[in-house]
Amino acid sequence: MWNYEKRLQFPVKITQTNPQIAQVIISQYGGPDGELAASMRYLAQRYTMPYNSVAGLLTDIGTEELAHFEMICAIVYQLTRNLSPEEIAKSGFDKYYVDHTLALWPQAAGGIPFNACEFQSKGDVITDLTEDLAAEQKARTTYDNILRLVKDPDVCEPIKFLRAREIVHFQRFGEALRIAQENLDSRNFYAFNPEFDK
Amino acid sequence: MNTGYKSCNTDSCAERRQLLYEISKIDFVLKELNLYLDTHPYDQQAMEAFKHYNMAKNKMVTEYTEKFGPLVLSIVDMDCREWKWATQDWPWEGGYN
Repeated sequence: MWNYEKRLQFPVKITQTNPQIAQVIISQYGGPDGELAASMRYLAQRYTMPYNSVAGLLTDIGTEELAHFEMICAIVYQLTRNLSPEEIAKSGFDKYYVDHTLALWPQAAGGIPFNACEFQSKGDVITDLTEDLAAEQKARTTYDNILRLVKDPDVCEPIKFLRAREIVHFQRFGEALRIAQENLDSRNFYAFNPEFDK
Repeated sequence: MNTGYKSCNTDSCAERRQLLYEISKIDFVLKELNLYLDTHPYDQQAMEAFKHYNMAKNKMVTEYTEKFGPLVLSIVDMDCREWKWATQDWPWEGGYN
């Protein structure tokens, strides 16, 4: 069950359009290491997670990621608001526009549609938490790549906030992996899979 | 090209923006404590802090709702003339957030 708060986690107020940069940033909506994949990854993994505190963390980070793709969508929406057909043609935004006009649609920067194959739910505690640690770092790298291309402070500030959250989540997932290992056989963490072997 | 976003500069807008900023700051602290407590569920100091900031946030959201309109459906806007949840701008428009 979820409730909606009618505000963004961090403000997004962009005054200048920039369809080129919108096409890059949309990757953090529907791309391989985007916020949508992050949210769905954690919320999918939690059901078979045998430790309550780790299932709670997956729920709460998965929920925060929903607020993050809302911010990414707000950035893309504002960067493409009020575009004229001439600007669309000139900026290369025409290939997106022809299928979606100015609506939000989850895709990677290269045009590849969002796909559930972009996230893993493997059903093994160590495997899934290691995946989550990597996912947070991949998202952090993507934000670093975005920040090298963006100059507008209206866009940089929310992106910097999202980048910092990846680092916090990485820290918390590291603690979750430690909690999992404390519950396993310290002589052989792989002796059994607590998500399957009873 | 301009996105059409205009910052409102009246006193009421400034107050609204400031109150929403304070709510966002407190909610950020709560989110941090929430995730920390998930992996440190016996940290009493963090639990005390969560309780403190949660009460402060509810108080501020109630004040915001009375003055400007709803942020969450669970803290009810007592104005019965208009369902502001639906009529006011959504947060992705820029607005007061």
